[in-house]
Amino acid sequence: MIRALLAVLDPHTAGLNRRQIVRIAVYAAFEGLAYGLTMPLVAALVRGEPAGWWLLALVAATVATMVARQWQIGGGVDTALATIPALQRRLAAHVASLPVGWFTPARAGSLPQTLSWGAITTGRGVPYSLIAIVGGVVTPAVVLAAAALVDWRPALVMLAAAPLLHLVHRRTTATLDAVEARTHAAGAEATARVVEFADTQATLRAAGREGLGEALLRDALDEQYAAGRADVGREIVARAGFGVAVNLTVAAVVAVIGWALVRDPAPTAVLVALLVLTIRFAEPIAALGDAARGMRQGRTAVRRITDLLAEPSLAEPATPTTLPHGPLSVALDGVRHQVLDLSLDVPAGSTVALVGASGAGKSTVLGLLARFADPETGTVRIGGVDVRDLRTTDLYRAVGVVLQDVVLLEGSIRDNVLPAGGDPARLDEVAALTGVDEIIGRLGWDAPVGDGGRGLSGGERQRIALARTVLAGPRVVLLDEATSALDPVNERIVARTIAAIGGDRTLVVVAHRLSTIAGADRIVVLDHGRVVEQGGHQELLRAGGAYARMWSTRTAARSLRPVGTSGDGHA
Amino acid sequence: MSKVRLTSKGWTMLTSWRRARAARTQGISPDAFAQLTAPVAGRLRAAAVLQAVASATLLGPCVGIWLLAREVLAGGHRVWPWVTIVAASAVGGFLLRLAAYALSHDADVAVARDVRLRVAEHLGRVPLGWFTAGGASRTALSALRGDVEDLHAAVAHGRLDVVGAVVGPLLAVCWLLVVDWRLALLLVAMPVLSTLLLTRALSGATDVMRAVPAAIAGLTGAVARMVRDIATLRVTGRRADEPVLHAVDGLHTALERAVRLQEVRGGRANALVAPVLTLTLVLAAGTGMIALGTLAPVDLLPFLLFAVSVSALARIPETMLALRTGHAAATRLATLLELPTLPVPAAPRPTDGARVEFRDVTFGHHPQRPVLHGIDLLLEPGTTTALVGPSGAGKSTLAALVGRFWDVTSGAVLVGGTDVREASDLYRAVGFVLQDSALPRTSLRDAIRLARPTAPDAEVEAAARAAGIHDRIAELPDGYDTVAGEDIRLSGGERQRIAIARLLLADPDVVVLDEATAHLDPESEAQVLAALARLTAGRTVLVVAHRLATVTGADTICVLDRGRIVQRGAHADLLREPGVYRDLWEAHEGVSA
Repeated sequence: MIRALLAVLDPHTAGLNRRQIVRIAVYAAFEGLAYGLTMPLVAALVRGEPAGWWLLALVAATVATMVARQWQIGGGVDTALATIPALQRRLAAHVASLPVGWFTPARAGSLPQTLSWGAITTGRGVPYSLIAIVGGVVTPAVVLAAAALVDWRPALVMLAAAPLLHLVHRRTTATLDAVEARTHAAGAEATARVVEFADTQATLRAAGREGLGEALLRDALDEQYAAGRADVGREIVARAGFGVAVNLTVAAVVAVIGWALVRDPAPTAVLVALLVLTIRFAEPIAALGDAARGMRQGRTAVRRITDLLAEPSLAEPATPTTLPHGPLSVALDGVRHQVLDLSLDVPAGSTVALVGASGAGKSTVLGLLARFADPETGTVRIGGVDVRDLRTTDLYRAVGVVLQDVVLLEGSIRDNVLPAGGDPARLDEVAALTGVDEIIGRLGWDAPVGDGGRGLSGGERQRIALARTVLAGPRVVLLDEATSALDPVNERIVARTIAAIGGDRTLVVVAHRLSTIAGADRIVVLDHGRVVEQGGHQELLRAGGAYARMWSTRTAARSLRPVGTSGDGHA
Repeated sequence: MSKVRLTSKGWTMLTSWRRARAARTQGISPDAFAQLTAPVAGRLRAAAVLQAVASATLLGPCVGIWLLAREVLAGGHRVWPWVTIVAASAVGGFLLRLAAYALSHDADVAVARDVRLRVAEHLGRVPLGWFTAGGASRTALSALRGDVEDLHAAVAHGRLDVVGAVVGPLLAVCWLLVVDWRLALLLVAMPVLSTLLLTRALSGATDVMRAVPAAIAGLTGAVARMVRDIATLRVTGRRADEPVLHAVDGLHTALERAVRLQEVRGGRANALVAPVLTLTLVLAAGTGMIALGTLAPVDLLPFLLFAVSVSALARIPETMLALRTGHAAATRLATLLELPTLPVPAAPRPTDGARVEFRDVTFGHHPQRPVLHGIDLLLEPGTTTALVGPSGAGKSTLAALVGRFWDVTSGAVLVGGTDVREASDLYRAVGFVLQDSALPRTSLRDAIRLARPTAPDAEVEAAARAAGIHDRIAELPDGYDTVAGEDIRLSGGERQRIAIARLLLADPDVVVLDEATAHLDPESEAQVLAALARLTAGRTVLVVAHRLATVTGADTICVLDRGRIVQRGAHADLLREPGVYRDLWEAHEGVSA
């Protein structure tokens, strides 16, 4: 784990941690020495000999140990306090460079934990987890060496027992990981089911008491109970195995010392001192089991961080290409990506509406054009240039993106509308076009938009994003129409803005509004990631295909009207 | 063991600090803990007794070594009985402690199940409105996760750790007091002094300590925002990690202050109970006393043997903390279990028919502030009634009363001639489609046949077909065995259609639709409306609409305004007369019409 831990750190921080390992070792050695010195002192006292010099030596060693202890603790604090932010910065920079498409809910969900607690756990690894291991190994080893000077036989017993103990530990804890994993999973599942039970209460209650809802919960709780009991059982066996082995080892050492005492009473006093020391180490060694478990948990955090850092970021091209002047075409060439399997050409300066059922791949097309991800196979071209050959800044200067669920950045409305270095002269004109003037009238340009702009409605956020795009003046606009902001006022504004954006700009719209769809130069109908139809509105209606069917269901089913009791109503 | 705790103590306290503070501010009732653990009280008591016996037994090895040393120093040769004592008490004490551990964990597993089950059973009787109201319910439920874990710490470890930190050291101290009271007092003084110092060191540190969890929350928040905004940040050409780096700095400052304070002040306190220092102090004092002739050399041995055990006294406050945290968690869980529930009918009656009737219904979450006033409304079997009106008029609240999401303040709601408060089969008779249908995480087959677990596949499929979702399910690799929420994420419209399929299968007489398509895009809306058309056929329907255009075909439209029905009639009639309805129509639909 330590090697993996050092590997995720930058060289400077890794160096700090290596130095801390040295501090820990020095401290442990001094401590072992101090313990070792208690033996001659106790022996002298028991024999009734003068013990002043031994006491002095012990006090000196103890003072050294305590100084080393403070030094080690201080170093540990410094190391942890340097490691944690360094690692967090490294992770933040890396995450910020990952492709937008990488951020699926499952991956993104664990990032806040990884960057906070994951980094903290890792930063604590050397100063705080390693010390427990060292305390259970290095200190006893130094004492053992000191003991060997007195009598080699007890030391030999300990030495012989060490690999045996290791083996017992390995055997008994081998299955613990799996058992613990099952318990954790079962516990999380049980809690999730209780929360779900509450979340879906309306549904479950409607299903009645004999329904499946309670069964789901009960199954989860039963599994948790079974897993918990199995875990306790395993854990008992594992702990019993290792614990009994440690205790028997200590007893064996005591027995050997006792046997030595009986055979040869000469070094009695020293051996008695050794006896006293022996018992001192039963617990730190037994506690090694727990310390090892702590390390295993730390390992999980380190592995997560290693995996995260291994995620490839969007590489900037080594020899960037520049875009041609004038209007830009947009194209997908033989692209296969997730559900998509298509080629698409959007001539420079034209407007294309993408339509299709949810899951057809509309937003995925937009995401590829915006280089939120690179396609698995095939090429995405803007103005004939592979987007992978463009510098990120060049790409987003040429391509403006208005996403479906617009989030606003922290700052004022002005900060959100006016791009860095944008021209404030056109601000009012654009605000009037995009309906932002109405928001400004209410709140003012300098009103802060807190928490992603949640104080504003979806329609208002979209208008602000449209204003930003219009002001930035990109040559290609990718627009994902909002689905939840469909009030008629907004609809008119969006239509107006799209018309104004047009001209020599290239526009690709994931369209829901009838007005947008009908106004496009070309409509592309997607189904299951393929282009099934394309053409003008009238042309497609006449063709009587998928588009015509979609159009007729949408115009027919605008109102809720029960169909006649025609049998299929009651299943 | 003590060494592990010494160095990690500061960090342990950092994490437990927040919970402990919560315990202090929210009040703790040990009764709640006792009550939640009542079913396993016997096991827990037995575990505590075992732990006490184990702690005493674990002094045995030291006693055995002392006896052995005394024997050989006196020139004796009887070694083996003492070695046997060492081995037997070490292994025996260890196994006893393990048994206590096994018992308490066994109890813990049982408590974990029992508590969750009790919470769930109680939630099953809380008014449905509590869940849909958001806010309070969210907080209470999110606390559930941490609270059950905190309970684990207290049940499985809490009392045992306290007993272990008290019994063994105290017994040792008693013996040592008999051997030599001066040295014994010196030994006890160290952990006592350490505890006092630590308490004093951390007493003024509240603000410094509070900053750490706050800074961690700040960082997780910044990361979550970066993740959420990543696309926008990228396309607008901003540095995505800037706020995160800022939060990293904030955390560093907070950590630095807290950890330095702890390690500097707390570290000094901890140093007092460092085993090496304890041993050396005892040896120094002992050497002096032996030199002065006031202590027999052999009497020094018990002090060396027990020195570290006695230091464990310093752990008492720490172990009490876990216990208190558990008590606080139990108190919070108890408040969840004290939520008012709907009264259970004394003589439940089945509903008969599909007529729904509101009789002079007045309702408010606070009786003094009614949101619905004197509502009289009759829904004839097989008719569709729409509730419209400005937002905040009470439409959803009125609809929810049909399903007894709340109990009325006065008046009555009747379904099939039976007061909903006395109905034995209310949810058999009334089905709901709400704005968003949460699906239990189970196979789509089970999600559809939730109310009728024994329904044959053919019927499940027929319902899915009628709800227009069968083709989508059939396309999935696992078909009806697909687990929503694990294998796939269904869109809002798909979830609504699953809900509709479920109702088609459950076949209630009355269907309540509360803005069932409000969150859908037009394509999905068309599909859901088609499915709803099949569901509502032949049933009594109450529909809450946000878009007037969707309910123009209703038999009756009721216009609600500030909790009262101000207009009712068919669309065409309402449009002809001036009033709220015509205003609404012109404001919303007029633009696009």
